[in-house]
Amino acid sequence: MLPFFTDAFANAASEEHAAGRRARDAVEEARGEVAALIDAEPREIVFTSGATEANNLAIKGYARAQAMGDQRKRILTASTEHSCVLESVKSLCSEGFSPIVLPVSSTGLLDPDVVEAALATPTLLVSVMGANNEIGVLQDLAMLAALATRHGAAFHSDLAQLAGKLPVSVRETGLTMASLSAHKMYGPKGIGALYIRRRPRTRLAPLLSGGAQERGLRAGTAPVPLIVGFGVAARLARRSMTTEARRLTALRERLHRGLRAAIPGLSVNGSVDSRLPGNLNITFPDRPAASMLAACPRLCISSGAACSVAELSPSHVLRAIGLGDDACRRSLRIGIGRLNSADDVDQAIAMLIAAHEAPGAQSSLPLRQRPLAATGA
Amino acid sequence: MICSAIEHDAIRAAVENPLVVPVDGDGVIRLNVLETMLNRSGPALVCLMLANNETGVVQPVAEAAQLCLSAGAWLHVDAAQAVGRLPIDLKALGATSLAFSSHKSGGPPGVGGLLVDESMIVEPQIRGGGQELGRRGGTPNLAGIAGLAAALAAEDVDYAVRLTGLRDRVAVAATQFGAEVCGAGATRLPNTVCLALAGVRADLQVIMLDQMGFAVSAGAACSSGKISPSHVLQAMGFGTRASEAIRVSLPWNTDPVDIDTFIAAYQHMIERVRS
Repeated sequence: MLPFFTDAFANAASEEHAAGRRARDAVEEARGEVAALIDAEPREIVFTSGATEANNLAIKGYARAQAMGDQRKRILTASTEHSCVLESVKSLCSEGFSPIVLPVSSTGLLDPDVVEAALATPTLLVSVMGANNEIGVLQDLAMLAALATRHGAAFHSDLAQLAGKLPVSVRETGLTMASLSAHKMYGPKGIGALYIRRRPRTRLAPLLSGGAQERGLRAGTAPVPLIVGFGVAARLARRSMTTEARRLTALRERLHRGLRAAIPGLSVNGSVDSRLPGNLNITFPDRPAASMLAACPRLCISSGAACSVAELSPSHVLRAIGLGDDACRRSLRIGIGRLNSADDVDQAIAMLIAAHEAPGAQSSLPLRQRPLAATGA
Repeated sequence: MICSAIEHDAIRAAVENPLVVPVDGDGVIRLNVLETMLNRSGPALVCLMLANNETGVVQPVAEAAQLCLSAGAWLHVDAAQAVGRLPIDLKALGATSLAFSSHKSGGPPGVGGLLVDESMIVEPQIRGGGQELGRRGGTPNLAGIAGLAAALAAEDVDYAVRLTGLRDRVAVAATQFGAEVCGAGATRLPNTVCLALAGVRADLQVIMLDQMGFAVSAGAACSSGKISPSHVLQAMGFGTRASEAIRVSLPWNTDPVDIDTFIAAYQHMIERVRS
């Protein structure tokens, strides 16, 4: 990635000269790596600035492209989706579409009967994330995609949290579109991709006007170094994710066991069985998360989505699975990642237990958001 | 919307059927036409570039801003080519909003910025987690932003003088070999020169120069792949000769020897096609 910042900085669209071709080749190699990660074809991958843009492009782009020839205006999504999906879906209201936000069960999973009932009314598009960013819950995408397909709706999934963490095949799952983020799989920030199925052809209207880059779907000079970094991250993730998933699951169980043994009444948010290996979202019986975090300065964990830092409001995801405002304030998301060891987890357990037992740890401060990421200093 | 005939595709494709302000033979927008359009259209969004990406011709944006101001129109300025290459005084420019790009200013690709009045944006293009004051969702491209800031902060005191000198050496030599400098009569960016060579297709020139180790382009890179004559040169009245011009851009670290080598390569190219 670094040489493409400094020496090989040519425009990947300038195919007429050697430097441009080198940049283009690097971009195409990365496209192949990203495609391979999710079992897609390289030409089904469109690079974007990240999963947020990919989600916006998928939802608005698909809806707008169908707007002319299709009577269906209904778009289904789930209440636990990332805010960029919820916002994109809701923003289409003003263009004549009907967004429907489906509730989830207390495990965070969509109930197939609820989805089936919602699909009884002709629906254009269903957008459901693969793994939740706060509670790590894995939706049954294959089942949901099959339901959507049976009812003639397109199916989009925000795979930002899932891709690179667990194996996923867009083909076998039956996805029409899928959003990816590089920095969620240890690639650089500022780059992501949208998978757009080619057969049968999926038509999208671009969000941005400009040059004909990315087959006319995403204008703007390609950020070659970021794309190259994304490709390498995808390759490394593809090679290591199966063993890494096993390792992280063991670490997460270790963390859960350690905390549960010392803190009676600690509960886990979201399905315990169907969740990302490295995610644990817990509610403490009596301590606000903010005071726990303040007492553990060496821990880099967050009480909600980093993205909603400006809001300081209780997590919409935790509320969607039935937690009250007070329980939301006592909740913490802990992410365990590639750089974390069993020793990190043991230290985290010790710090959190100490913080929990410390006298006067009560605090009435509002939720204080911290940078995303993993336990350990 | 009103835009000029030489805007980038990003502007030209943003709105259907805009009113188009023509340019003169040097590629400078015709302010009197803009004035007439503003008088007829009333309040409008006017989009003008500060410097053209193909010819480097600098536009009379401050004067256009005065016209917009008196007509109650908003002026958006595409300064992608100009930021980092020309001194820009936002107040004196009089723009309502101004867009710029990192990789045109010496920073990494994949990041840019929009200077905009607090009150202006009503509808974000990309919605998400409330980043950038709610105007643009998505985790910020941290490395890109830091690189952009570093590029803008880097001081290169004699950039304009140095690059203009090198650019003009290319222009003078190319003219001696029979080429025409597009927009020769206008103020141009220090680093860009657009050379039209009668009777020699631009794509052939690009290939021959590529073989000699020079990366030049025919028109905008953004439209590479589609072979159509430059809309910028056509607007300047080049007609069929719009397909015979190449754009030569000099990076900040170009040295005089690079210019000697380029001039020799350009001459060699002409000798080969003429023989």
